[in-house]
Amino acid sequence: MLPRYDRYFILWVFIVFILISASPVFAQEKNQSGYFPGIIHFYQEYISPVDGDRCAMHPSCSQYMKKCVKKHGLLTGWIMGCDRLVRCGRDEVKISSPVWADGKKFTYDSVENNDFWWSDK
Amino acid sequence: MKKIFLSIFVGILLFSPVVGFSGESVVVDAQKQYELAQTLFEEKEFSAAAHEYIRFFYLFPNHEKAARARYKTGVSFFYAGRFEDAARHLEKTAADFSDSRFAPDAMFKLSELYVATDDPGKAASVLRNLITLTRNPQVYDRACFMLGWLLLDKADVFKSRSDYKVYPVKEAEKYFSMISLEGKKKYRIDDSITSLKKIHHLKKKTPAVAGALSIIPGGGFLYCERYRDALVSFLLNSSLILAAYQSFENDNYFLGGALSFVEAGFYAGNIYGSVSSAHKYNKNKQKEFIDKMSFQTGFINNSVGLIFKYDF
Repeated sequence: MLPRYDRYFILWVFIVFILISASPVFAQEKNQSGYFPGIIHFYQEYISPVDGDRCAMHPSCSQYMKKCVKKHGLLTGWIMGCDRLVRCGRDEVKISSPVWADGKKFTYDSVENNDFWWSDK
Repeated sequence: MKKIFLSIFVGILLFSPVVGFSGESVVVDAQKQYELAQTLFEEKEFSAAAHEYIRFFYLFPNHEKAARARYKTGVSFFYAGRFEDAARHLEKTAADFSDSRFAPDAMFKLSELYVATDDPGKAASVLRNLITLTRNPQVYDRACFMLGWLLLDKADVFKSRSDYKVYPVKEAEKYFSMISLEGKKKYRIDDSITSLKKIHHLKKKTPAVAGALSIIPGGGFLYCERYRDALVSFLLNSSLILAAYQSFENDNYFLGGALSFVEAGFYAGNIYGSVSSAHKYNKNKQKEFIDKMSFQTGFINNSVGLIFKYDF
């Protein structure tokens, strides 16, 4: 069991980290897409075929996160990807336009649809 | 002796039967060359048409149709989907034939091309240049009209640009008001200006409020009327926070750390998603309003409105 002081310290570090990471200002970093897309690639290659093609969005959540990391760096890409996982297949379906791919209907939700309010790229 | 042989040799050469080229010779004149390019264009063979227009321009650079050929080269490349080549030729038309009536057409087409290639900033610059340069009142009105609609249609894209200090809807109003009385009648812009004033009274969501409310996971989504997202965000975040807390309480620091790391992403994602949802909400409201307005004012039926058919 950690002492009370250390627990508060960890809690504060945690809060500071998440508040800083939520700031788009820190999203300008580039070329940080080293290992993270590798993990996504592993998921796409080995887990997704077993898990099944269940994502209702286009691009799929893993592709979306990969694109986010490529475009905005590791930290913002991770945050945007987590946001997408929460939104996948729910209220976004009513708001965004549908697209058809391989005879299936998907909801179009590109990176640009979600970073237009702060990104020039 | 040598002279005799030489004379015989020359004689044989001169009088031997020679197979001649007696085929029909074809002379390509400017009219024929232009017609060929035009035919290919009409048959929608745009790449071939572009090359024939280039040939025409190369062979007859001083012909009266040279400006038209250069412009049509750009248009052909545009329809062939070769946007870079199209932009190059259209820019050349505007620069090299600035006094020709094809210069403004080239600039209009260039702005259309930039909208098609998802670069509305450049499209707006081209139209602004045209407004500054032209002395033709009809071209001026058309450019103001198109720029106004472009700014409205892409208001959120322009707003996101750090170098764009003016509020696009206000700028659109400015350009609409610059249209002459005759132009206003032609484009039925009075109705648009009246309708446009209502855009400031649209019910909008404040992104900062959405972000602040998302301190409680899902609060921001709830504010943006995304109820299912709000519920999922709340349940997911609270479960992960609870799980991480329990792990630390039970001295399972590794699991607690891993859960905290995952939760950090979801919590930050919840804040990001809430702010983003507020922006999307406002964008959709504005888009709905503009679509309704363009329908009411007949903008969709107007030929110049075709600029937006390439919006993707």
